[in-house]
This record gives sequence, structure tokens and C-alpha cells, in this order.
Amino acid sequence: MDQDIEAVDRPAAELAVVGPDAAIGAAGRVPVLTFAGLEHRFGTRPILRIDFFEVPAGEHGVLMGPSGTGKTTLLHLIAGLLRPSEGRIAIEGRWLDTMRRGELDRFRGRMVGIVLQRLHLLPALTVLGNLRLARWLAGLPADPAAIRHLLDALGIRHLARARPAELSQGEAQRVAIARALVNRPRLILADEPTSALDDRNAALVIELLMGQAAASDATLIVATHDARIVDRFGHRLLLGRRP
Amino acid sequence: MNLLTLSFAYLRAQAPNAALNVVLLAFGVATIALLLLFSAQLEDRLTRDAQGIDLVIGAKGSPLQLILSSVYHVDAPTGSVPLGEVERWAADPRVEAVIPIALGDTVDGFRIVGTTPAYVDHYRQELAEGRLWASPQEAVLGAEAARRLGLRLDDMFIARHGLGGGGAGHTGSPYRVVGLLAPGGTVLDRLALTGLESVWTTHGIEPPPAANDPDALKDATATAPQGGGDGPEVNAFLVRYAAPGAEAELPREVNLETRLQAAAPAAELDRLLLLVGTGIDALRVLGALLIAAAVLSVFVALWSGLKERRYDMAVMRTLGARRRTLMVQIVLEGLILASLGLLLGLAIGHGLAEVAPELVPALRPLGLTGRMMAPGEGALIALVLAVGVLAALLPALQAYRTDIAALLGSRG
Repeated sequence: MDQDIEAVDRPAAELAVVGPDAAIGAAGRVPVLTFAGLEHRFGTRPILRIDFFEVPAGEHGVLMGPSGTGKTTLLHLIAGLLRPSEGRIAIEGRWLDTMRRGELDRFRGRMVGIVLQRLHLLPALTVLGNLRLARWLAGLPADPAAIRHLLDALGIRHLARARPAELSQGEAQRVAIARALVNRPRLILADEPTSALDDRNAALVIELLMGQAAASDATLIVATHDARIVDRFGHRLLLGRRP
Repeated sequence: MNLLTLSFAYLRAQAPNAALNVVLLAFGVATIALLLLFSAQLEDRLTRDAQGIDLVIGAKGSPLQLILSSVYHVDAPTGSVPLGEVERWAADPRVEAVIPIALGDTVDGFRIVGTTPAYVDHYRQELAEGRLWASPQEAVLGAEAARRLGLRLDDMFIARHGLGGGGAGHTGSPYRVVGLLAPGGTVLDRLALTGLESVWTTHGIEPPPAANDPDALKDATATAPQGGGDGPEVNAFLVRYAAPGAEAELPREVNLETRLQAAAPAAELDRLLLLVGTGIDALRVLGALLIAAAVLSVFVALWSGLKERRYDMAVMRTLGARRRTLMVQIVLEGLILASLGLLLGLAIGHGLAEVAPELVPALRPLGLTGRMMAPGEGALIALVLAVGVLAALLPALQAYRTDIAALLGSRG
């Protein structure tokens, strides 16, 4: 509880010093993800309440709970796609609510990589186009060498010119992971990455995500109700129907 | 990767639909561009051909017909004028110059006009080759007439009686080409010019002495026989005033005191353009309707496309896209469709204008060309681009407002 109050009441001046650049340098000290006094409601219906939770840099976290407990909503809150009704979220020490809208979009593009539950690759673009788009939208230089390297690492280099409609589910998932990683984010969010997979593939995907996160020194946050994988995470947040 | 390649990727992904919109828009643009070109060049052409001709005097009849036949060479003459009348008016101090016009024959559809060298001077046309006519049965060809007839210097040709082109050949008195005019963009380009006496002798009329001398016309009043009967006649004569003020008296004098009529090309031209303008306006409405249909189609395509693309838009937001970026992308797609439609439409319109005279002989006298921009085309371009943006604006606003979290599964 002490920690909770400290996080919420941190003076603004101190927080401003801990910008994203400073946070990377002090990865050991600044937690990569912090929730403080977080509450979210849709209308008057409460969805989430988390007094305090943090994931230290270099470790991974899992958001657990049955369907309808707000896991996806929480991921959206972390990504800054939603603003919480109450409380605050910090990524690498930067409070999301202190950022203007355009600034938050840019921050999300660079700091957060998201693997959506339904992947949602852009069908009009090739695999390569999807990755290039991610870099461009975040305002980053094209860096074709890094993209090639990433495609190699995920074993999908031969699919670079393919369209999403031509991919198998497994291939599409790898592409979606590549797209989440291509901007070298500090935080990788994955929504139910394994729920539709058999045991073997579920294990493979988690290996892949953790391996890639480690390779780019990023923190992986997975939202799931899949009991098979939760053991793999050191920091667990259990969401329930009545928080 | 940038917005442009992204927009093109999406248009390519729905290529049939995009192509349909572009073609639809192109038809509207082509119609209007063609009309703009047509009316601009028609007006320009008609104005240029009538330039400097203050009055046309000819036999009584329709004043418009008189102008059409003697200035533009497209209608039958109203009748004939005794040469004496020409000389009488030429001697009037209010008249600076007269140019007689004698019609009656054609060569392969091109009119043979008996006149004086003053006619060539009037339009400031230069000779490309040879010289002006000096004796009977010598002819000078306008550039287009020479090209289409395939006639060169010293070639001979036989005139056909009548302006319709179906008359009997005057085989007894062929013409010799002694000069070719450089192209001048006037009515002369499509005429064969010769001396007055050539027309007379072809038709068996004894020419008066020195009728072909332009200076003689002005002071020939005393020597030439007064008109009437079978004496030398012309079909009309073009008059240039010596001093301003003549336009108030001269036409009235001619119309009231003689058996001739006087018509001012400027006034008839206005009437003519008014008539043509009504038809052009009607076609312009048609073109505008085509464009409106195309814009509606672009709007529907973007709007319904947006439904399929909501997720794509949401994903782009998760990748760091700003709302503004999505909005600009949709507007850009509308703009690309509008631009492609414009380019294709202008190409079709200008292409048609260029080949139309080849396909429709009746358009030949206009000398229509697609190798120019008509006034108003700039406004057309601006208008189409503006409506392209307009058609995209509502879908773009919708994209701006998309609730991405709800789309991606946050339960509300």
C-alpha cells in the first residue's frame, strides 16, 4: 500500500525527469509498467479496479482472468487507446495522462507493440508493407536491414511479398508478432495469443514471444485466460468479476 | 511507405471499384472539357474571322445567312449584288475599303471565292509559296484546302458548279494553282481564292475592264457599267468603315434606300453564339450530372469501404497513427480518384477534340483542336478536385471518430 501511494503521489517534477530516454538508461530502477489507483468504468458499470501493480524492467507479466473480466480493456488502457476513469498508468516512468493526444499516439507507436487477438494484418499490404507501415506510422526511419533481420528471426522472410490472405493462421501470427516488434518497443502486449492453439503450438508461441522480447530487451505483457501459460510469468495480475 | 503508397495500396486492393469511379468521373470531365474546348474555339474562330469587318452588304434575305455565307463560307449566299453597287459604296467617303466576294463553285467541297487581293491582306495571311493570282483561272489555295486536296504549285484543278459539291464540272476552264497560303487560323485556310473575273468567265459573264485591280475598285465608279441584268455581279461585299460613326448611318441607308441589305458581323455573331450557347449549356448540364453521379459513387465507395476498413484503421492507431493521419488518408484516396478521373477525362476530351474534325466533316470549318487549354478548364480542374475532397470528407470524419478500443474488443 505504501508503494501504491508513493506511485500516485510522485511529484510531477520528478516524473518529468524520468522521460523515456532516461527510463531506458535506468532500466533497473524504473518499472516498465505501473498501475496506480486504476479504475475503469463503461458508463456507470465498473469494469476494473487495480490499486497497485507494477512490472519491473526485464521481467514479464500476465493479466489473468476469465472472459469478461476486462483483460482486453486493460491492455487498451496500457496502450493508451482508452483513458482510465480513475487513476494512472505509467510506462517506463512516463504517466500516460500527462501526454497530449498526438504525443500519446507517437509514444504508443514507439514504446508499445501490440499483438491483437485477431491479428488484424492490413489486407491491402504485403507482409513487408505491414511492417514498413508500422515503422512509418511511429515516425521511425524505414530500416530495411532490421526488418529483414526480424523476418529471418521469425522464420518468415520467404513470406515478405505475400498478402495476409495467403498466410496460414500460424504464419499470420508470426507476422503480427513481427509487426509488434518492428519498432523495438519497450513493452509488448499480446491479447490471448494462445487461446486458439493446441498445447504444442501454444508453447511455441509463448517461447517465440518471450524469446523475441528478450532479444530486444523488452517486457512482455500477456492477457490470457489460458492456464497452460501463466506459470511462465513472474508477475501475475488476477482479474476477477468483482475487483 | 508513406500516405500516398498506402492510399494507392488500398485503391489497388479494390481496383474494379476504383476503376469504375475513375471512368465515371472521366466521362463527365471529358464531356465538359470537350464543350469548353468547342465553345472557346468556336467563339475564338468566329470572332477572328469577323475581325475588322464592320459591315457586310449583300442581297436582301436573312442577315445571319448573309454573314454565314460571305464571312464564314458555310451557307448559301442570299443572292447577288451588281458590281456597280459595290463600286458605288466603295466610293462613299465613310467607307475605307470594300472586299467583294463572288461565290458559286467548289473544288471537292472547298469553296472557290472570287475576290480581290485585299481579302488576303485583310487577314494578314502570308503566301507560303508562289504568288497571288494575276490573270483569269489562276488560284491561290488556303493551307488546309491545299493539304486536303493534295494540290501543289502549278497543279490544275476543275471547279464544280454549286456550293453543295454535287454540281457539274466546269471542265472547259480549269484552274491553275499559282500560290499557297501559309496557315493562318482563319477562314482563308479552307478556301480557294481567285480573281473576280475567273468566277465570271467560268459562268459566262463578260468581266468589266480592270475589275481585278483593287485600286480600281475605289475610283471605278465612273467607268464601270451600272449593275443590273446580266452584268458582272458579286454575292456580297465586306466593308470597313473609314471613320467611327458610320455604323449609325450606313447600314440604315443601305437597308432603306437600296434593294440590298447590310448586316453587321458583330451583331450576328452575338446572336449566333447565343443560339449555340443554349445547346452548349444543355450539354454542360449533362456533363455536370455525370460528374455528380461520379462523386456520389466515390462517396459511396469510400463510405462502404470504410466499414470494411474500420479494423485496419483501428490497427493503424495501435501502431501509432494519429487520428489526423487516418483522416488525411481517406481524403487522399478521394483526391487520387478525382485526379485520375480528371487526367483520364481531360485526355479523352482533348483527344476527341483533336480527332473530331476527322470523324465529323461538319466540324472541319471550326478547325477544332485539343492542343490547347480552354478558359474554364482550370476552374473545372479545381471543381473536380474540390468535390473529390468533399466526397471523402464525411468518410474521413467517420474514420477520425472511430472508437478503436471498442472495435478491438473492449467491452462496453
